[in-house]
Order: sequence, then structure tokens, then C-alpha cells
Amino acid sequence: MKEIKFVDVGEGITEGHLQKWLVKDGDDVKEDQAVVQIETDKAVVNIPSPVSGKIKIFAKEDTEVKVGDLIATVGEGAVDAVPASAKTAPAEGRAAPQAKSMPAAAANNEILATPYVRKLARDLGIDLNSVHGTGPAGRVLENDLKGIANKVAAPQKLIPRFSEVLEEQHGEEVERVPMSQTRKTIAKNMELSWTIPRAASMDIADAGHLYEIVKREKPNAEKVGFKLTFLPFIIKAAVQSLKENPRFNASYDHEKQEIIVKKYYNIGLAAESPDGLKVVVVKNADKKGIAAIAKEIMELHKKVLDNSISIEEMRDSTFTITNIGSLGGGFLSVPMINYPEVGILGVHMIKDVPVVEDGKIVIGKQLPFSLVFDHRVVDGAEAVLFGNAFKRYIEDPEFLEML
Amino acid sequence: MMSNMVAALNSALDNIMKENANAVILGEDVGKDGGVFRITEGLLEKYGETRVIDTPLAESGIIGTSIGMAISGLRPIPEIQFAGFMFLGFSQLVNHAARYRSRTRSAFKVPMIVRTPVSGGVRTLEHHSESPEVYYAHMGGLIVVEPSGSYDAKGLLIAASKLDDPVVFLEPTKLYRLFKEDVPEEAYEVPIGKAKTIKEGNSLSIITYGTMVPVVKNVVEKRKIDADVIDIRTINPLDEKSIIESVKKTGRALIVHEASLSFGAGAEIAARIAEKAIFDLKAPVIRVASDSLPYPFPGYEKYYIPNELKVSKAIDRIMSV
Amino acid sequence: MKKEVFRGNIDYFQIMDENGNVDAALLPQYVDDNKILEMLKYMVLARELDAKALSLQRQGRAVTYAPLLGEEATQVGSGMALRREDYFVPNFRQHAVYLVRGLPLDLFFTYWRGYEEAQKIPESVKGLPVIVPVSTQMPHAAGVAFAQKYKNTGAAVIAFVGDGGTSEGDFYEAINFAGEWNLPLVTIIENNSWAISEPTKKQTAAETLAQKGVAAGIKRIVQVDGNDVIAVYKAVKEAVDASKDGPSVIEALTYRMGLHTTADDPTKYRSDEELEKWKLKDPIARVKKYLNGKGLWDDEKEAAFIEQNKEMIDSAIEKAESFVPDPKSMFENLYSFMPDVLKEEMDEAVKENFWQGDLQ
Repeated sequence: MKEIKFVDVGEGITEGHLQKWLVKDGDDVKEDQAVVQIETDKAVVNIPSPVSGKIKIFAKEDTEVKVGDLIATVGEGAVDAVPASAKTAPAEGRAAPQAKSMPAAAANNEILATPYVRKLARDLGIDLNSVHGTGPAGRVLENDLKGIANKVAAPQKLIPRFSEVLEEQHGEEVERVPMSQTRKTIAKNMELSWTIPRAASMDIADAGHLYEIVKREKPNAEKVGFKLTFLPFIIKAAVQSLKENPRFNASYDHEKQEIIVKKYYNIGLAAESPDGLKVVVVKNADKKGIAAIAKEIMELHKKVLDNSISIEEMRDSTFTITNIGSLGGGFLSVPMINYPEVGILGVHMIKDVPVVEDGKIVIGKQLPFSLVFDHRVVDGAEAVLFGNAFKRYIEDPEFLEML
Repeated sequence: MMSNMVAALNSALDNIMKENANAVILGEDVGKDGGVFRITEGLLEKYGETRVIDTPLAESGIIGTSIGMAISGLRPIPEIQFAGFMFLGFSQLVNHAARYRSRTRSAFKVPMIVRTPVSGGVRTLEHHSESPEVYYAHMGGLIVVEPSGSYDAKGLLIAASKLDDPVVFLEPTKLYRLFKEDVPEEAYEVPIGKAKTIKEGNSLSIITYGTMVPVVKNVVEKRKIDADVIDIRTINPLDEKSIIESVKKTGRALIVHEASLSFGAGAEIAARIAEKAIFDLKAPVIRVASDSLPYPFPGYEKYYIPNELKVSKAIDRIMSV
Repeated sequence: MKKEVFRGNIDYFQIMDENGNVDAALLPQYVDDNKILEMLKYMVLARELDAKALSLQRQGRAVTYAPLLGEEATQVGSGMALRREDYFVPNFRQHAVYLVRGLPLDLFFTYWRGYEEAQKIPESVKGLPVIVPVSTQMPHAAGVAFAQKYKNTGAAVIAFVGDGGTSEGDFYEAINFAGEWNLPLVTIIENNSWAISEPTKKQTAAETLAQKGVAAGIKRIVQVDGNDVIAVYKAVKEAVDASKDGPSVIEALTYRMGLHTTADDPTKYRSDEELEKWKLKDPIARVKKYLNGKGLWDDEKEAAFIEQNKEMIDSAIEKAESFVPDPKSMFENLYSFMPDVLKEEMDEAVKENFWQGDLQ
């Protein structure tokens, strides 16, 4: 048995007027035979039977029918759905989704704050109700949260500036010392240096040969009027290492995200002055011999000490060496990079240490050094390569003798 | 080779015509005249009048016949002389080009590129300065591309010629000859559907395209603004990912386009930012666009098109929050 | 100075009149009784198919349907005149052309049940999909014809447009392109006398619709009795054969005996007398009369023929009604690739089960 339902016969029809049946109840009707005439807003339409068989009429003439109303069945037996309703989209077969009541709005809804501030509050675990908003109309601002976040982190009373506390608590026990211009410059440079994402690589070089050569040549040098130290040799070894690893003789251009590689070798030397740290520069160190460098270092040092050093002599270094060993103390340090350079080499005091050589303990001369580098420009592996090169030159008698 | 956009597009068409024997250029004045902007100059001589066709003046006919050619395996590249006249072919684009593939479940394809000059700033007569990108982007089915420089123009046009989809290729008249860029002579592709970050910064994301790209660039350079400047290049489909990533980084979004403000591409982009990045926003999204008016006569256009001052003030406003 | 710069005329012809009498002088040699019998069979089958689709709509088993009742001769005559390689471009009422060209009938019913998958028309049919916006198919037809010429396939393209459609700009633009480019395009104006409620005289002050081709510079223009399948066949066949030399326009005068669509009620705007007058010119009745006289057809043969094809129609309906739509196909066929933003919309609908429907 199949159903005859009144369907939407004309693009958005919802109801119609059943004018008359074209067959009588119990008649045999044929497939596609018109059985009933219904008037809609748009037209009078004849509704056909989907199958052949005996018709059973339910709806009366001259009545209103709605789309979906069952008006007749055709054929014997149980109702067999009309194909159109049997074949449905996968979704249409499922139960309709439940209508739930309106959800409650998220908490803190009545507080004025931007979504960004709301998220910040959630992330910091702050209840916006407890915040005194300082923005227009009491709007909670990012800064309002930051104050509280500090409190959450350190639940003491609100902290005034540390300096005020110190003075209040210790009175005469503290003294404000004005900073020299050099000190201020150092502070500024160090802050700049701190913007460089840095890493350090440390190693020890065998300074046996170097020690011997310096010891041997020192008197000769004194005869011609200069003091020979390890430093000129270290500078030459560093320059050679830079030539092999050019990215350490460079600067990082943040704006353009490019590396500026320098093809000249001006070696900065950290020097302690009465005012504080200064960096003097041995220009074109690659083109100068040991004696020339040694003499130049002496000159520069003298000028630093008597404060006659010029700005020109402290400018344009491409790579800096800090000779921590000359002061005697320490084993390994992590020096600050001389902004905007890529690397700084810290060399330390050469010490006598027991080393194992051919299974025997002998006295060795060790030179510990550390290389701090801009990790945006170079990686740790490259730093090790630089260190290895530096070691190779420091340990190579032929190279040292040639200088 | 340093080329302006006209030369770059001409070179792209030459590459396409050389490589694909089924490519056909048609439109009003595209043959002997080389097009009113000279984009097709020299192509008639090179490829003959069966492939470079001066058509009757009939925009619907040009686009409609192109659809017929495309479903028959050709790759038509119709030129509509000005975007303001393309509305006569709008029915063909939205009723057919946009949905031919989907309404035949990919049995028929419409590989064609409809090129047309858009936007103003060159003091031309009325109806010659329209910015209609959103009309074409709205219903889905049409790819809408708008380059802002010579390099992109050539690469995007060649990329469009490799797609089996209808592409509306909008060429900013003002940028045709404004500046030159290094454009290779050989064929290359610039991916469609990918935005380009022109400049990186951290405080603000400026999302723009077309004629406003050089305007934004100037403001950012003159004022040293620390901003991401994104040229979306493809209006539809939008590279939402690049936009959202940038806005999440900077927390501020400024959208700049020449098409008028209301219901513009900026509204679409702002809505997507609101949906996907609102918890990263430190300030409301601001749109800079022409006012919600039809494009005026040329005498008034300098009061209509967003200028550097308007962009600059919007930056002040967005940074003050 | 004064001189005549243009003069033209357009002929009308009919080969078989409404009583089944044939004008022997006009009957071409390539039309024999077997051919006429084949034409009749297609027309009878088309009318059956049409009635079935209408019935399904009234039962809620099909969407809005545009019946072809009365226009069988124009469509069957045109369809049969095509060579295998020729293309046809319909609007939305050319069901009988699809039938003649061998469209699988389940696709016909699937279309009128409202699914795009129906438009995956097999290449062998050489037909474009149904086009609904009036006359917008015409420039496509010119484009397809251009491609035939460009690729030198030798194929012709026949395009169908209604009487109302000839008032559209796209109609003129297309035939003008065809004229200017000398395309192998045969335009068939299926003038069924009514554009929904507007009679042809409301479309134009021109005496014929065919003469619109004159302004496009088309040389082969003819008007035929569109209820005379032989006349239509001859006109289209000759136009197709001549298509390598340029375009043609054929106006076929016929009558929409049924509804514009199932959402229409023609009693609102046209008289019963007019309909009765045209029923006397029925395209099928006259061929039956002719073939009855030759002993090639009678009611019994017709009943057997219909019964024989019922199974084919029923199984096509069954196949169409067993089609299970996949909403993802809407997304997957928009472009040659799936943009991220579109995929996100599709994925959300799947994940959130939006296609489940309205709330309870």
C-alpha cells in the first residue's frame, strides 16, 4: 500500500483547497492517474496516484489540506512509504538535534575590558571582578592586570622603587655615586649587548710552544724597546681563525635580516681604565707583524691609562678579545659581546697543569679560552670550528715562529 | 629586466600564448591597437588573428563565448576594457563561470582568465575607475586576483593560466606604469591564494592590496612604522592563515583598500580576525577605504581615494589604544 | 543620392500538415517512412517521459519541472538532424533532445529531483548541461562553435532559445558573434508562443523572430512549422550540413500545450479556445495519421511500444530515487583545488553535524 500525501506542488505552497475527488472511494486507479483536484494560491493541480490499485480516500471534498497531510492510500496491505520519502539524504534520516536552553554568558561579562585583557586575566588566573579598572568608565586595562600579576607572584605589599626602599631603610648606610661618562657609555653598551641572543663555547689550548717562544724572544724584544707578551700571538691566531670562519667577523642587520660580513680585521682589545672598561682597536691586525702589534698595544695602553686615547682609536672593531688572563684571576668567564659584533674571545691565564703525555704525567701549559657568539648569526658547531682553528694556531710552532 | 606592469603582463601573455596553443586572447581593441593600455601589444602580429581577436563591443558576449570556449578545451583570456563595463558581463560570470564546474560536479571546467583594469587615481572619465573585487569574490567559484607590482603581475597571470578555474584578474590602472621591478623574461609562477609579507614588524599588521600597497609602503617608510605589511594579492580565496598569524603576533590590525568601505573586503577580513584572533587584539580592527560612495568624477577623486594622511591617522588611532 | 542598401526575405515551410498530408515536392529524399517512424517513436517516448516527470512532481517526487508537451517535433526533429560529432546547447526544456542524444534517463530524473550530479553528462551525448537563465546559454554556444572552428573538428553546434529569449541581449550578442566570426552555429528559436504569460507579440514588434538573424548578418534564415517534425528535421539537417560555411537561424513555430513549469497555471492568461486550436496541430497526431495510412502504426502498436519502454523509465526513476546526495560534493567541486578557508567550512559542518537539520 502507498500513501498519497498533499505535497508542495508549486515552489513554497503550504496549504490548498481540496476541490473534488476525480475517483470514488474503493475505485481501482492506475499509476499516474489523476485522482484528486486541489487548488493552491498558484494553480489548480491534479494529484496522480503513485501506483495502480484500490484507493481508500481519507480527506473530504471542499476542505483545506496542509502540505504533508495524508489524503488517501492506494493498494492493499501495510503502508509502503512513497519512494520520495524513503530515499533521503544521510542527514535527513537522523533524529533532529535537541533545542537546548540559552547558555549562560561567560563570567566577568559585566566588567568592561577588551577581549585581549580578558584572555590575559584568564591566563594570569585573575578574577576581573576584583580588579580596579583605571581606564575610561572603569575599563580594566592591561596595566591594571600587570600590577595584580606582580602581587600574585610576590604577595608582599605593593613594592615602591627599590632605591627608595634602600634609602628609607638604610639612610646614611647608602651613598649615591654619580656615574662617569665612560661608565654610562659602558652601561648603555652593555644593555645593547644584552639584546644579542648569545651562547658560549669554551675550550683549552696547549700553550707550551707559545710560552717557550715568548720566553725566548722577550729579551730580544726588550733590546729593541718593546715588551713582548702572549697577546700579539693570540691576536694573530684569532685573525687566522676569523679568516677561516668569516661569519665571526660580522654584524647582524636586524632590520633587513641579513649578515654584514667584514673583510677587514680590526681587533678590539678590552682594556681597564681608571674610569672603567674601554675597548682599544688594533686596526688591520692581519697586515701587521708581531712586533708592530706589540708596540701598538703598548701605545694604546699608555693612552688609556693617561686618558689621552681618542675616540678614533676605540672605533670600528670587527671582533674583540678580552685578555682576562692579564689580571691574573679566574679560570673561564662569559664576556659580553661588543655590540654590534658577532663574537668575543675571552683568553685566560696560562697555568701549569699536570697533563698525561704518552702515559706519563708531565707539566703542561694550558690556555683556557671562551668564545661568546651571536646565535642569530652562527651556531654552536661553527663556534667549535672557530675554537679548533684557534687551538690549532696557538699549538702550531711553525705558525708561531713565522710571525 | 626592469619592467613596468604593462610590460610584465605583456610578457606573461606572450609566455602563455607560446606555451599553450589553446590559449586565445579576445576583447575590444586587443588586436591591432594592442588594447587601450597596450597590454596585448604585438601579440596579434606574433600569434595571428585567430588567437588574438578583436571582438564586437559586447561584454556579456565576450565573457559568455569565453565560457563556451573554455568548456570546449580552449583557454580563453578575455580582456574587458574597463571594470565599469564588466558589469554587462556580470550575469555570465556569476551565473555560469562561477558555478559551471560545481553544477556539473566537475564534468565541465571553465579554465579562463578575465582581465580588466581596476581602480582610479589616473583622472579618467566616470565608470573607468571601479574597484569591483568583492562582487566577484562574494559568491564563490571565481578566483579573484589583484597584483600590486610587475613581478607579481606576471607570476600571478602565468599561475592563473595553469589553473582549471575561472580567474578574474584585476589590474590596477594606476600601477600599470607607476614603477618598474625586476621581471624575468622567462615564465615563472607566483602562487595564487598566498599573501605576501612586504615588510615585517611587531607592533601592527597592515593588510592591503592593489593601489593601496604603495600608499601604505610610503607611510610606513616615512614614519618608520614597526608593522607587518601584508599584500593579500588574492582576494578569493583569501590567505586567512597569513593574516591571522600576523595579527596574533602584533595584536593590531589595520586594513587598507581603495574599494569603498561598506561591505568591502575589509569587512570580510575584519570579521575573520574577530573570529580567530580577538583574544590577541589590543585595539579595535580599523579599516581605511574610500568612503561609501560611488566612484566620483575625476575632479573629485583626490578627495575620495584614501591618501597617506588617512592611512597615517588611522595608524595613530590604532596605536593610541 | 538614394539607393537600396539592403533587401531580404524569409521563407516559411511545412512538409506535413496537421492531417498527415505530405507535400511531396518538399519532402527530401533522405526522409523515408522508416525515418518518420523513428521520429514518431522518439516523440511518443518524449511525451511519456514528460508525463511521468509531471506526475512525479505532483507526488512530491520531483522538484519544479518544465514540461515539453507540444514541442516534441521541434526537439526530436532537431536532435535527429545532428550528426554524431555535433553539439547541442539547451536551455531548460529540451528533454527530448537529450533523449534522442542518448542521455541516460536516470540523469534526467536526477536533475528534476534537484541534484547537480545529474549534470555529469556523458561526453558521447555531446550536450551541454541544462541552463536556466533565459538566453544566457547563447554566448556559450557561440564559444563552443568557435572552439570547433579553432580545432577544425568540422562539428556544428545547435543552440536552443525560446521566443522570450530572443528579447535578451545575450541572444543578439551571440548571433552577432556567430555572424562576425562566421561560426558553425545553428540557432533554433523554439517559439512555443508563450513566455510564461507573455505571448510572442509582447516580445517584439518584428513580424518574425527569425528576422532578428538578419541584423546579425546571418545568411541562412528560415521559419518552419515547429509541429512538423519533418520540416524541422530538414531545416536543421541542411543548416548543420552548411555549418562549415557559416551560421543559421531557424525559427520553429510551435506551442507549449502544457505549463511553463509546475508552478504555473496557464488558465490565468490564455484561452481554452487557443489551446484547442493548437491541439488540432498536435505534432504527434499528424505523424500517427500518416503512418496509420501506411499501415506502419496503430493504437495497439503504440500501447505495446509504451509498455515496452515503461520498464526502462521505471528503472531510471528507481535509480534516480536511490541516489544518495553527499553534501561534501558541493565543496569538493567548486574549484580545481580546495582552499583552506572553504575546507574549514566543510569540516565544521561535518564535525558539528549541521546537516542534521533544524532543532526539535
